[in-house]
Amino acid sequence: MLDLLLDATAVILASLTIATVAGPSVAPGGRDGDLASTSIIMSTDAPAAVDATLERSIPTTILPTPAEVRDIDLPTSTRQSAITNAPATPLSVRSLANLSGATLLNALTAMPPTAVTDYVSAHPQRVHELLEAPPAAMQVSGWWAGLDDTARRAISAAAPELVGNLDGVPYSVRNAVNRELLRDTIRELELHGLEAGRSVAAQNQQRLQMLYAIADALGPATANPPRTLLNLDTHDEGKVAIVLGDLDSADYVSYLIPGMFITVAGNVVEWTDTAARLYDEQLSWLSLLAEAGVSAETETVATVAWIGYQTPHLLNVGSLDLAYEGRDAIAATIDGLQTVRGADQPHISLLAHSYGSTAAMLALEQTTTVDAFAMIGSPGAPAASVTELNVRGDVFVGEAVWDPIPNSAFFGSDPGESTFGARVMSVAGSVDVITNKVLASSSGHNEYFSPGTESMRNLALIGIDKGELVTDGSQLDEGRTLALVL
Amino acid sequence: MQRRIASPSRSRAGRWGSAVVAASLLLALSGCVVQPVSSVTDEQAHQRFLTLLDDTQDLIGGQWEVRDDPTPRECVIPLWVPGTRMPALRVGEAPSSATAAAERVAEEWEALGIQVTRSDVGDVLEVKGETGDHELLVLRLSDSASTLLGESECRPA
Repeated sequence: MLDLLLDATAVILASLTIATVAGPSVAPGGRDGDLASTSIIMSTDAPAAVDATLERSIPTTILPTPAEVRDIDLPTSTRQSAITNAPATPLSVRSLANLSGATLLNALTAMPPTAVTDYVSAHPQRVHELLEAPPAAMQVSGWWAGLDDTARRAISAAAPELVGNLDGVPYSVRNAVNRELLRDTIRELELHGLEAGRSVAAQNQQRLQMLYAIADALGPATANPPRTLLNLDTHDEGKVAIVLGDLDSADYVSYLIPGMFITVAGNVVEWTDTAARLYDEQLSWLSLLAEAGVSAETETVATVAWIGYQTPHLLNVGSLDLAYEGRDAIAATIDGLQTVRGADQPHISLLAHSYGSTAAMLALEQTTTVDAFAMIGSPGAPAASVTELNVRGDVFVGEAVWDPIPNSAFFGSDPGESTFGARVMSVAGSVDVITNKVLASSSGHNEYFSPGTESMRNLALIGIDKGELVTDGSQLDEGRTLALVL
Repeated sequence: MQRRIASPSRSRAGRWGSAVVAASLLLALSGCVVQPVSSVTDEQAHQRFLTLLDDTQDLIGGQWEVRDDPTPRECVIPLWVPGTRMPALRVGEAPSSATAAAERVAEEWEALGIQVTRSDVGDVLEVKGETGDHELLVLRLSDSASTLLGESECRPA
C-alpha cells in the first residue's frame, strides 16, 4: 500500500509538473538538430570543457594522463605533474581534424599504435563525437573485420569507450573492453579520485558508487547465464547495458527500455534483476513448451537490461529531447544486433516502460524494425497508430489501475485507445489457465515488472513470440491454452 | 498534597507505560521485519534449499544438469524490507514413468511438510511446492524431459 501511495504521489507530481513546467510536446527544430542537444553531449560537456581548456592552456606537445583521458578528476598538482612529463604529439595527426565517422575510424587505425594512443589522449573529444554520431553498424563491422590484431589492440587500449560502445564491434570484444574500463576507472577513482577538492571528491565519490552498482549488477564471473557488459559510459549520469544470455546465438532477444527516474547509479541492479527474472520466466516457458512438444528442443533467450539513454526526471519529462536521444540509441542498438547476427536473425522485442515507450515508438517510426513491441504505462508518442510503427508482429499495450500516465496521451496519441490498434495486454492479475499459477496484479506506475505478476508473464511471452497466449482480460483468456500453440 | 504529587506521577507513569507498550509493539513489528523467516544463517538457508533440490533429483533418478545462477534475485520481505533469494534450474532426462516420479516427489515433499499442488499442463505433469520458509519448488515431468525450478528463502539483503 505504501508503494502504491508513493507511486501515485510521484505520478501525480509528475503529471502536475508536466502540465506546469514542460514546454510544448513537439521537438524543437528538425531531428538532426535534436541530435545535437541529446544528453550524450550533456554527459560529456563538463569533461570536454576541461579537456578543451587543457588543450588551449598547454603546449601542443604535451598530453594528459590516462586518468585525465577518462575524465577522472585529479588534484591539480597531479595534473600539472603529468602534463610536464607527457610525451610529444605527432604532427601528422593534424590532418585528422576534419574527419568524422567511418573515415575517422579508418584513419585512426591506419596510424601506428603509439600514434593512436597519442592522438586519442590529446583529443578525447573526438571519441565522444564519434559516439554521438556513430557510423552504421555495418560499416563498423567491416572496419573491425579489416583490422589485424595489433590494430585492434591499439584502438582498444587507446579508446576503450569507443570500442566498448560501437555497435558493430563483436560483443565479446565490447564486453572485455568495457569490463576492463570499469575495473580501471574504479581503481583510479579509488586511488586518486578522492584526493581532489571537496566538491570534486564528492562528485567522484558519486561516480564511484555508480560504478560499484554496475559491478554489482554484473554479478560473479560464474553468473549463469553469463552477463555481458554491452555498453558502458562512466561519465555524469552514466549509461549501461547488461545482457543475460548470448546475443550472438539467442533465438529470442528482449530489450527492457526504461522510463522516468531510472538511473544507472540508483537502478542498474534492480533493472538487471528484472532482466534476470524475465530471462527465468522466458526460459521456464520455453522449457515447458519443449516438454509439451510445442518445439523440438528448448530454444534460447537473451534479455537486455538497457539504460542506454539519460532518462528524464520531473523537471524535463515534459520534453521529447531525451526521447530523441533514446530513439537514436535504440536504433543504433538494434542496428548493431541485426548486423552482428547477419543471416541468423533472432526474434527481437522491445519491452518499454513509460517514457521509454515514447523513445521506442520514435525509433520504430523511422527505419528500426523489430518483431514485437510492448508498451506499459506509456504517455504516448506522435505516432497515431500501430501502422506507423515498424513492427513485424503485434504491438501490445498494458495499463495498470492507479497509473495516470497511460491515458494522458501527453506526447500525442494514447496507445491504449482502440483506434491506435495495439493489442491489450492484461496486467490486472488472474489465474494462468496453462500453469494454474496465481498471477498478481500491477497497480500504479511502477509495478509492471514485479515478480509473479500477470504483466511479467505476458511480457515474457511477448518476448518469445507467443503472443497468442498473452491475456487481455477478456473471456477469450479461458481459451488461451497450449492447444493454441501446439 | 500527596495526591497532587501522585497524580502527575501516575500521569507520567501512564504516559511512560503507553510509550513502553508502543515501543514494544514497534519493536515486535520491527523484529518481524528485520528477522529472517528462519533462524539460520544465509549460507545455511541456501544450503538447505540446495539439499532439497538434490534430494528431489535423487528421488527421480537419471542424469541432471545443474544450471543454478549464483546471482541472487531481489525480493521483498514483509513489511517492505528488501531481500534476496537464490534461483535454481535443473534439467534432467525423462523419467521412466512421469506419473510415478511425480507421485514419489509429491509424497516426499508432503512428508517434509511442504505444501504441494499438482496439476497437468498439457501433457506435462507439474508439482509445485512451497515450504514453511517460503522456498519455492516447481517440478515438471514429461515424456521428453524433467525440469526442476526453484527459489530459495527470501533473506534480508
